[in-house]
Order: sequence, then structure tokens, then C-alpha cells
Amino acid sequence: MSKAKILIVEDELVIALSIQKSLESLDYEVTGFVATGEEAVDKALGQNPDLILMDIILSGAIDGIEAARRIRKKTDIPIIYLTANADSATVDRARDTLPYGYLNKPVNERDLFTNIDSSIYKHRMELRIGESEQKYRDLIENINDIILTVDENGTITYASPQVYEVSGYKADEILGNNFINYIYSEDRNKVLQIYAESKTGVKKTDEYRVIAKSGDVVWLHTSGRPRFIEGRFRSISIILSDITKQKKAEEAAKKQEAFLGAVFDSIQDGISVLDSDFRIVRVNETMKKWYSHMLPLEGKRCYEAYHMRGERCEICPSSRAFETGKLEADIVPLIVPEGQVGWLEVFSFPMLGERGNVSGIVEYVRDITARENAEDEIRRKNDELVAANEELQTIIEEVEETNQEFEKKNKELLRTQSDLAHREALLQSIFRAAPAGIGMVHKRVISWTNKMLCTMTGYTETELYGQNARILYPTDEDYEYVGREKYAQIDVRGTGSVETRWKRKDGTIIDILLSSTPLELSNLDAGVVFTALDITELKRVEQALAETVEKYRLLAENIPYNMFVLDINTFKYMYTSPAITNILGYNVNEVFKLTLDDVIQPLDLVRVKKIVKEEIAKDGQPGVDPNRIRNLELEQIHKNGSIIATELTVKFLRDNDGKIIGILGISRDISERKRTQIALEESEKKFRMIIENSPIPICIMDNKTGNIIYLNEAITKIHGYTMDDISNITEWEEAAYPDPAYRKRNSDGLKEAIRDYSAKGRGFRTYEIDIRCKNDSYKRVEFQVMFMGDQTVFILNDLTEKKIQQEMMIQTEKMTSLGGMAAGMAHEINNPLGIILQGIQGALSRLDPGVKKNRETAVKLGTDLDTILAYLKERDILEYLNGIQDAGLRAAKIIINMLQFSRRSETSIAPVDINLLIDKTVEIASNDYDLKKKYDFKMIRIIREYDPKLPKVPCSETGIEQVVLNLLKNSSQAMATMKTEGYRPVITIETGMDGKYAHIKITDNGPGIEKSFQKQIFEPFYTTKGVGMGTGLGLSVSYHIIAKIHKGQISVESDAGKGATFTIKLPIKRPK
Amino acid sequence: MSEIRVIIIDDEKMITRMLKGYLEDHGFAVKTAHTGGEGLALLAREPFDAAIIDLRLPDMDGSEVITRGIEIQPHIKCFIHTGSIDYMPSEDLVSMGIDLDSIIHKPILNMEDICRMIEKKVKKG
Repeated sequence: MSKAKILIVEDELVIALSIQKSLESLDYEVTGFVATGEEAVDKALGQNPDLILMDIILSGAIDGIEAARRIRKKTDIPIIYLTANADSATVDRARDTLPYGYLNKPVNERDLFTNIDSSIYKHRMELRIGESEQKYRDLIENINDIILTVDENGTITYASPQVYEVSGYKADEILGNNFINYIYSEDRNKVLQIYAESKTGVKKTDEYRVIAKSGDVVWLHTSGRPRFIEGRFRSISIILSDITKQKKAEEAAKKQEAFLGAVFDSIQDGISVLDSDFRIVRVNETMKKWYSHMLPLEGKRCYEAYHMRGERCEICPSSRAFETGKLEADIVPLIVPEGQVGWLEVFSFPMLGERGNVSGIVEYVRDITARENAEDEIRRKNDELVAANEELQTIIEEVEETNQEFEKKNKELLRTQSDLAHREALLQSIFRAAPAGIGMVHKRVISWTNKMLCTMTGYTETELYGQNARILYPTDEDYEYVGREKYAQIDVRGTGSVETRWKRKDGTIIDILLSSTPLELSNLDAGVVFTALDITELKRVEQALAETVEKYRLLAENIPYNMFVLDINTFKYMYTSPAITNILGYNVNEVFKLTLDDVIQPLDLVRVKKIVKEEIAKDGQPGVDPNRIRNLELEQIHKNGSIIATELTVKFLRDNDGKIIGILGISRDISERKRTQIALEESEKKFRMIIENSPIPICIMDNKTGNIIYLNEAITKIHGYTMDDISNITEWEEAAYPDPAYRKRNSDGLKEAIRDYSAKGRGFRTYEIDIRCKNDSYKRVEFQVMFMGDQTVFILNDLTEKKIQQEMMIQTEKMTSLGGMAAGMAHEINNPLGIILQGIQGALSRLDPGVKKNRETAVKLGTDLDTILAYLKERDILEYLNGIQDAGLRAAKIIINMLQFSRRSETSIAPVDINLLIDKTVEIASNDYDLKKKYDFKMIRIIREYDPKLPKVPCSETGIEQVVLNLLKNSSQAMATMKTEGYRPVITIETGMDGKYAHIKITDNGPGIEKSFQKQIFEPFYTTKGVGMGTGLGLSVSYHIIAKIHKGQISVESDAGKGATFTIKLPIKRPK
Repeated sequence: MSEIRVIIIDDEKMITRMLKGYLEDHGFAVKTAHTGGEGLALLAREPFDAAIIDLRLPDMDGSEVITRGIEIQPHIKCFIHTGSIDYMPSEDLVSMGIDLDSIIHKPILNMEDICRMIEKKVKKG
């Protein structure tokens, strides 16, 4: 035993050390000493000493008792208190902590030792007991059996928890109750007896039933041990095991056993079970019966018992089964002491053990003695039968021979009969199948009829038999006639055939073809066979046909077309309708004498013959329709010699075999048609020529296909496209309207218009549109669209020129109205201007010292003119007056210029001083200041380089003014865009002459015009200026004026960034 | 040489006044009228050498004044004072001696010229 470890909790160090010393001398180990309660708890739980000496009074927040309490909560380390005083309160508190003892201070060694020792021992004991107790408890609580303790009165004093599992009662439920209450009623007596015997000390085990809480019966195996205390019975401890399951199994097994046993014994056949040693283990009653002389069979070897042999039987199926492990069977003799008394069939079933080996055999034995005997009997009888059979064979052979002869005879008879029957059947069927009524009369009395006759006449056979044939006839006349005719013919030919009428039973009349033949020519009374054919339908068809033929004949005779048939070999007329007269002038009769040469022009005749040859050659080949027709146009010769244009439709006429026998045809006079055709062609040619050469641009489209079927030169001139370029309206649209949206609008518009036209018949539309020409330039054109049936005609109008003219007119109009306004304004201004100017002139005049009156008036007024003048000069008044005059003059000049410019536009050509004209125009331009257009012409430096020798040029003054002004304006606007620092706009105007032309060159130092644009600037609507800054027509109008009106030239030279020079060339000779 | 007698007929009073003033300063004898009727009445009373007549008069056309004036005084030299620069004298007037030199355009820029014009015409006889 190791040293006990002790923890000292004492706040007085001296005492602690002293105690330690003592303990160590007592051979205890001191784990340490602490002064406070908290430390004590820590150390106790950490070190786990065997004992703690705890001073009650400690330094720190908690005292020893509190510390002990805390320690005891977590562990069961024994604690001994050290106490100096022992007041009752403290003691009470201390007691609650279940200390192991108290030691009074000062502590002596002996007390220390005894207390500690006994405490440690007690603690250890307690632990052990605790452990044992735990063990027992575990045991009891974990075994499946119930442990019950019952006292001397039978009261249950203890029940282990398992009681719940088995009985449904909780342990504490049954405590205190008498155990007998739970016992199954039937077993109570037994149990009481056991209990009583136990009391005597006998240890008893038994089995009995209890009732569970649920009411179920539970079998228990019990083992009880009585306990005696001081010789007296005190209690029994009973161990109870639940054996319900086993019991149930036992019972089931018993029942099974009994059942099997019964079955076993009831089987009529024998069953014998052998073990692996051939020893009989079990037999049933039947076996016992058979081998009653050998009982008991169990334990004996099978070959001993059953065969009285000392060793295994070879034939025994059981030994075989042992070896093979499979079912074996055989027949063995039933041997009894008297000898063999029968036969047994034995089936041996091997029983397989766990490892697959044969652990035994079950023999199933059947008494087949009776069967065997029976089989013998059969065999015997069989032999007898065979013998009898052989006799029979011989007899049969004899009979066979006779039979064959009979057969032969029979066959002959049958054949004859068959023939007869056959013939009769044939006749019957003929009669039945005949579509004609067949009957027989004797002296005109009906003796037999077939079904058809009945059907035809509506009478039944019975109704007809024995009747005179007269009933079939509507009248006596018919009856008599037939009789006469028929018999007359028979006399001559042996058979008579006559058409007649019969009357059916229902009264309807039918047409009949009657044919009669006597059975014997020499003896008419023997009977006459007649056939009657209903030809009513036939007659009807015949009539209809006749009518139809008549109809067709009338038709053929009356249509104006000639129907004819020609013989295929001679080509002569085999037939012709009367219409031939209308076409070729011949009568029907005359025609048959004609040959083809007579009626067809030689050239066409060659062609016709060729065609016929072709067709004959083709004929009969696969895929060639025998009924094919050909259409030909010919020139035929009228009787009167004139040429008739005809159209023929012909086909081959064939016989029944399909051989060509002639040509069937219809011919029409197409002279009229031909004439019309030619006229139409001529007319079309004319129209075509007209349109071709027309200056009107025309294009024609077919509405269905959209194809351009025609366009003339004039239209190509406008846009450059020919029919090769635009064969269809879609191609046109793609070329002329590059913008897809625009194109679609257009295309849709046109389609709608065409639809409109077809629906409402509105035939005419006009619209303006811009188109792209083949050379990529654009033109404004006007389309006039006319719908004519299946076609649409487009007429194009190039509006570009018109537009220019329009613009010019507008300009002119503007100018004119402006002019008018200006003129009016000028007039109004002239008067006040006049006053200003005249006023100044007058004023200045009256200041003139040269005028006497002036001097005189001054003197008269007491001064002198010089002084006045001096004053005026001094005060600048003279200057002012001069200023006013200058201003007035300037204003007058402006008005003059304006008026001159706004004069009614005269395109009259007259000799004009160009230099003067330019100056005038520059003057006008200098008054042009437009805030909107952001330029001030006055800012521009004008350099003039005039040729003084330039003669007067015939031109329209206003026109040239307009052009020069336009160029000046363009230049100033262009130069206004130059933003470079220090830029000064300059326009240089040069006039001169070279050869036939006078020229005006206007050069600016503006931004210039890019080469690629130079061509376009003269085009109408071309402008680089923004919206509202000009229509872009100025240059095109100028171009128009110079080039068209003056037959001059206007051109530009420029490089981008290097300014531009516009040159106007005017012919010096008057333009015509 | 005696003074050249001029009549000025114009409905603008300032014009007549200034014209009169200047011409008088330069040795002409001037009378004024402000309507055609007034002018003709004056012409009927007194002899004049020259007449400066505004085309647009309130009561009648200036050309009518000229025609009637010349009837009254056949030797009078008439001048048409007009604001219209397009003005061309009719054949009748031309036959009465009105030519391009007889036309004075408003506004008169140089009175000197006018004096000379009048002198020239009058002296021509």
C-alpha cells in the first residue's frame, strides 16, 4: 500500500509546518499546504489527495467549511477538520459536509494518526463496498432473468427491474404484493406446494405460468433459494426465466411430432428410415406388418431385417442412393420365412446432412405383388392374342382378293354414273347460266323452262308448266306470227329465229329474239327447244344510237369547219363535210376527184408529205400516243384559184386492229385571222417605231412578272440604264434607289398602285422622285404612270432642267419683287435725300465769299463773311456740313446702284463695259452684310486687274451682274470660314481677252475647293453650306446664264487650302 | 445778259426753297409753284426761260404741265425733275424738245451741273 497523500489547509504557517512534520514522521506524504479556502479547492481537485486536513478558520473569502463543501461536491476525498473552537453553529455547518472527523487544535500526533488512518481505511472500504454494490447491481440489473425476493408471508420484497420486460409490471408496482396473485390460476396449487416445500429448505426448480399485466400467459422457469436467518425461514430469493417461447416451441414440436407420427403410420405403403450405417431408425406400421416376424425392426440392419442376409444387397436402391446421393428405385422380393411372397418396389431417398453428405435414407416401399401378378396375366393373354391374330391375317388376305374384283366393277359403274351426272350437271348449269331464257314446248305447250326464262317473264316454273305459250304473248297476232315464222324457218333451215314481243306477268312488254330448234327434225311433236333473248335494252340502245348518229351528222353538215377523211395511201378524199364549199369552193361531190396537189400550195404540200411520213414512222413506238393530233397552217388553193390560209388539225384514222387507214382532220379558214395578225404586227411595228424614236422617255413593265419589256432611247438618255442593265423592276429599284428604306417605300407604293388599278380601275398616277443614274449622279425626275391592263407604262420627265429654270424664275421673281420694292423705296428716299443734299449745297453756296449777296448780307447784319466763315471753321461746322453732304452722296449712290440692279430683268443682249459692270457689282456686294451668313464684304480687300482695252461685250447686263455677284458672295462666305490668325481675305478680279472670248477671273484666298468636288459644284442643289444658308442653286444658275444663255464658259481652278479662281468666258461676238 | 428766268414746280416745299435759293445765288431769277395748276397759272402770267417740273404733282402729271406750259410759252425750256431713274420721255414730249439732257434725277448731287445744264439749254435757243 502506497503512502497516503494528505493536503494541509491551514493559514497559520507554524501550525501547518508542525502538522507536516508530524505527518511525515507518521509515514504519510504531504502533497502541500495552502492557506486559503480557494487554494484548497483548487489543490484538492487538482492533486486528488487521499485526505485533506482542513482548518475551519482560514484567511481569504471562504472558510474551511465552505471549501470542504465545494470539494465534496466534486469529489469524495475525506476531509478532517482542524478546529480550535467548537461552537455548535460551526459544528452543525461542518456536519453537513459529512467530514470524516474533527481534530482539536493543538493537534497531537496520536490523534492525528488514528483519525487519519481510520478515515482513510473507512474511505477505502466505502469505495470497495460501493464497487461491489455496483457490481451486484449491474449484475442483477443486466441479467435477463428476474430476481425476486419473497418473504415468509409470500410478499414480494424485492423485484429486479427485468420484471417489467417479462410481465409488464414495474418493480415497484409489485413490491409489497403477494406473489401468488400473479400466478396463473391453474398453476397456483403447484406453486403453493413448491413454496411450502422451500420453506423447509429444499431448493426447488420448476416451471409455471404467470399472468402478465397485459393478460398474456408467460411461462417461467423458476429456481428458488430459501434464506434462513438463525434457523428461521425468512425469505426466498427466486430467479425466474421467461421460457414462454421455449414452451410454445415445445408444444408446437409435440403437436408436429404427433401429427407426423399419425401420418407416418397411416400410410399404406411402408416407410423405413435408415441411418448411415444401414441401421433401421424408424419404421411405420405397414413395415411392421410385413416384417412382423422380425420385430423390433429398429436397430437392426436393413438387409438383416428385410432380406435375412448378412450383407448388403447389391440390388438395394438404398445402397445405391448412399453412393450416388440421388433418388434410386428398384423392385425387390418380399421375403418372409416361408419364402418369397411378393414383390416390393423400393424408392430410396437420401437424407443430406449439414455438410452435404448422406446422413441417412428414407425408404419408401410399395407392395406391387398384385401388380406383378397382373402384369404376368397380361403377358399371357398377349401371347394368346398374337396367335389368334395370325389366323386372322390369313382370312383377311383371302377377303382382300375378292374385294379387289368388286372394286374394279365398282369403279366402272361409278365412272358411268359420273359421266351421266356430269353431263346432266353441265346441262343444268348451261341452262342456269344462260343469259337467255331456255324452254321446251310440246305442241306449243310449255313443258320445261330454265330459271332465266322465269326471271324474264316474271312467272314461276310452276306457273309456266303446262301452259300454252300464248300466255307469253301480248296479242294473238304476235302469237300467230311467231308460230308461222318460226315453223317456216325450221322447215327450211332446221332452226327458226324471229324477233317478237312478249308480255311479262306484270304486263310490261319486252322485246324478244326467239330461236327455236326441234329435238327431232322429223318429229316436231317430240318437242321444240327454244331460247329467248331479251333485246329490249338492245333495241333501246339501237334507237339512241340512231338518234345520236343523226345528231352528229347534222352537226358535221352544219359547222363551218370542214371535217374530212383522206385515204392514207392515195390522199384522196374519202369523206368531206359540206363546209368544204365555204373554205375551198368545191361541192362535196367534186371533192372526190381531187388530189392534194389541187388543194395545197406546192411548198406546203412538200411539208405536209414530210409530216405524214414522220408520223407514220413514229407510229407504234413506245410512248407514242396513237390518238395524237397535229396542227398545221397551210396555204390552200381555192377552186377559183385564190390562196386561202387554213389551219388543219389532223390525226390518224385506224381500223379495228389499229392499222392506219386514213387521215381524219378538221380545217378552218384562217385568212381573216391572218389578215388581222399581219395588221396587228404592222401596227405593233409602227407603235414600236414611234416609241423608239419618241423623245418622250417611255418604259413598259409587265405587271405579272415585273419584267421591263421595253424602254426607249429617250429614257436611257435621262438615267443611262438600258434594258440590259435593268431587265426587271426590282433591278431598277436597286439601281435607282440605293437607300433601302426609300426603295422599299417606292416599291410598295408601286405595287399598291397596281393593286388599286386592278381593283378600282384608276389608271394614272404622277409622282416626283430622285433617282440615281447609271453614272452615279442624281436627278430629280417625274414619273407618269399609266396602267393598261396587264402592263404599266412609265413616262419619265427630267425635272432637273425644270428645277433650274424654276429656281431661276424664283430668283428672278424675288429680284423683281425686291426690285419693285426697292424702286418704290428709292423713290421715297430720293426726296428727303434731295432735301439733304440740296440743303447742304445751298448752305455751302451761301457761305461762298464769291457770291456778292453773301458778303452784303453779312455786312448788313453788322458782321463780315470772313468772321462767320472763321467761326464756322473754328467750330467745325463747315466740316459737319461737308460730312453731311458726303453722307448724303453716299446714300444717293447706294440707292442708284440698288435701283439699277433691281431693274426688270432684261435678258436682252447689249454691248456692256465689263469693267464698269464689275465695279458696280462690287459696289452692290459691299452693301451686302449678312449677320446670318457671318461675313462683311467690306472687310475684303478687292484687287482689280482690269484690261483697259477690253471692248464692250455683248451680254445681258443683269445676267452677268448676277453671276459676278454670286461668285463674290460665294468667295466671301468661303473666306469667312478661315480662322487662321492674321488671315486677311482678298479677292482679285481680273478682266482680259483672249481670242474669241473676254474673260473675268475672280480669285479668292479662301479654303479652296477639293478636286473631287469641283465637278459637282455647278450641279443644281449642290452645296457645302448648311441648311438655310443658300439653296445651292447659285452656281448652277450662273452656269446656266453663262453657258446656256451666253454660250460662254464658267469654270473653276482650285486646290484645297489654296483658294479658288472662277473664270467666266464670254464670246466677244454676239451669241446667236 | 439778263438773268435766266426759271420756274420750279414741285410739291416738296423744301426742295423748291433750296433750289430757288441756290439758283438765285447763282444769278437765276426763280419763281416757285407747288401744284400743276399753280404752275400753269404762273406760266400764263409771266415769261420764263426754263421750267423745272416734278413728274409727280398732286393735281396732275408733270408731263401734262410741260405740254400745257409749252403751249402757253413755246420757247420755254422744260426740265423734268424725277426720282425714277428709268424714266424715258414719251414721243410727244420728245417732239416738244424733251431729250435726255432735259432729265434731272433726284436727288441732285451737283447743283453746279444743273446751273450749267439750264444755261446750256436756254442759250441754245
